[in-house]
Amino acid sequence: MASSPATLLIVDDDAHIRKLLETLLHHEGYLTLSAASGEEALHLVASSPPDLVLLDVMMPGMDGYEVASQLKGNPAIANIPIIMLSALSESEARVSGLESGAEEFITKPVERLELWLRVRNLLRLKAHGDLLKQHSLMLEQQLLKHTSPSAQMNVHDLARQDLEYALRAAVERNEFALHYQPKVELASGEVCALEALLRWDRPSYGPVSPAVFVPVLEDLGLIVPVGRWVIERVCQQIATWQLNGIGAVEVSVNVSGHQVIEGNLIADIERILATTGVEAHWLEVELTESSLMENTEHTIASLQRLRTLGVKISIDDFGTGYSSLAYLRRFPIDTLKIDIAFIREVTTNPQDAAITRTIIELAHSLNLRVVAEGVETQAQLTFLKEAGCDQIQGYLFSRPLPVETLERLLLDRIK
Amino acid sequence: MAAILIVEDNEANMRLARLLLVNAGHSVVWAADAESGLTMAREQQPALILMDIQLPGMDGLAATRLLKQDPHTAHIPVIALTAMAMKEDREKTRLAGCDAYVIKPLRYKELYQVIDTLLNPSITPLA
Repeated sequence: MASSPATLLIVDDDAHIRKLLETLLHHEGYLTLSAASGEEALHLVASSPPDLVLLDVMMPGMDGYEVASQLKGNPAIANIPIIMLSALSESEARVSGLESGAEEFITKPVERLELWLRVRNLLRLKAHGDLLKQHSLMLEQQLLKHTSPSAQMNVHDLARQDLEYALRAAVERNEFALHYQPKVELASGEVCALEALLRWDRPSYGPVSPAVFVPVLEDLGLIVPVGRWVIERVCQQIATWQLNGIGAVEVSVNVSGHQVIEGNLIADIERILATTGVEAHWLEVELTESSLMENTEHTIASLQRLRTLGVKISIDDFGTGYSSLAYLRRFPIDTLKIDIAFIREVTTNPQDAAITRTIIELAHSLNLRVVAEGVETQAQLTFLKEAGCDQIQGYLFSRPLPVETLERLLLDRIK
Repeated sequence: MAAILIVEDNEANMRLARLLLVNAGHSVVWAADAESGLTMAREQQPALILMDIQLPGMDGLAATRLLKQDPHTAHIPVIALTAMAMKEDREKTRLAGCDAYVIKPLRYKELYQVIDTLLNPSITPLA
């Protein structure tokens, strides 16, 4: 696919669904076109024929069945495969869709794996010319292997759909908050920096783990605006501290690979630093090792621009993936953050201890600083001190704190 | 802990592997090409060899074949270090006589696990 990515036309009157599908498809490396109505879709197909059409059934004006019939009635474009999207799963809807000429049918909400398999299969079959109709059985078998029993699926889908709606509302109503976890310099024992952590208190549910909601924000394409809000909030906070006697503190923010690839991260950061008047070196972005290894050329270019601004760059969850030394040298980074999994057993598992020592020495040989997170016991602290680790964060010193509690801690530091 | 020979022409890669091995308590000797690797294997009798497949001159597969034909070195386990992830490539390392392979760039945990398995053959045989 790398040589010439396929272009998919998304036809749906719902802008959220268009955005969701675009995000899912871009993630798989496809190009997309979008149409908000059947009329617009026919127009687009005539001017720039796509490789495949994703077609919503229920649209105001010309509906999906009619668009499909028109497309399939024109011999010049009848070979473009169509996947119908419908909230109805009844067999009548399926049959009508297939009668109007669509090759496939997906029930909403769209499941990532199903979308990907059906798109890939149709594109592959289209490339091989004929046989479009014969593949269904094979595909159904593939999907069966990957999906749980239907009853469970429904519950899962409903919960997921529920979470998606709640998150969309959370973004609109700004229900997110930031907590800050102190990092401690081992040489001095002092708080030297903070990590900003996104918190979401879901109304009538309570706090939801970022491990649960951040991937959903990513899928919905909402991580870009939420991530921008985090950076804005953090810089405003640094500016406030700078003025109120606490003094400026270095703060790191977690940045998703999606923000680097889909969003305009660099321009956003540049603008936020300018409007808040915060000097760039007080801000550090943390990217995971795995997100760096995707899309490396683009990522390296983006990070180099960030570095030019003076923003610090940290690799989060380091040590589990395939990270070559060559890459480490090419990335303009300041900090390695040892994956929490190694710290957890650093005093009991000799392999984890050896990996931790290796990461610390590796970082120092590249003139990078090294942070261990998830430090909970005195024994872990002793090990990390002896191994030469620069900074630690974890419950042993402090859990992530809301601003007011944190400020008391920072003021104590000054006295 | 064991004496391990690394045959690797790229010094940066060798340093990372050496760091990992030394931190795990092993001692390490290094050869930058296949020919000196063969000599060191015969003379120093390491407990294990990490063999880069792509070497200048004689490649790692040819070197492993020679090691496995030589009664002085045939018993030493060889781990192929390979950037090639295709099934045919793995098959080539097996046919040359390598006992295991790890893919570069290294995943630290995986390297340790393969080494432990080969140094303690009683644990679990590699597939």
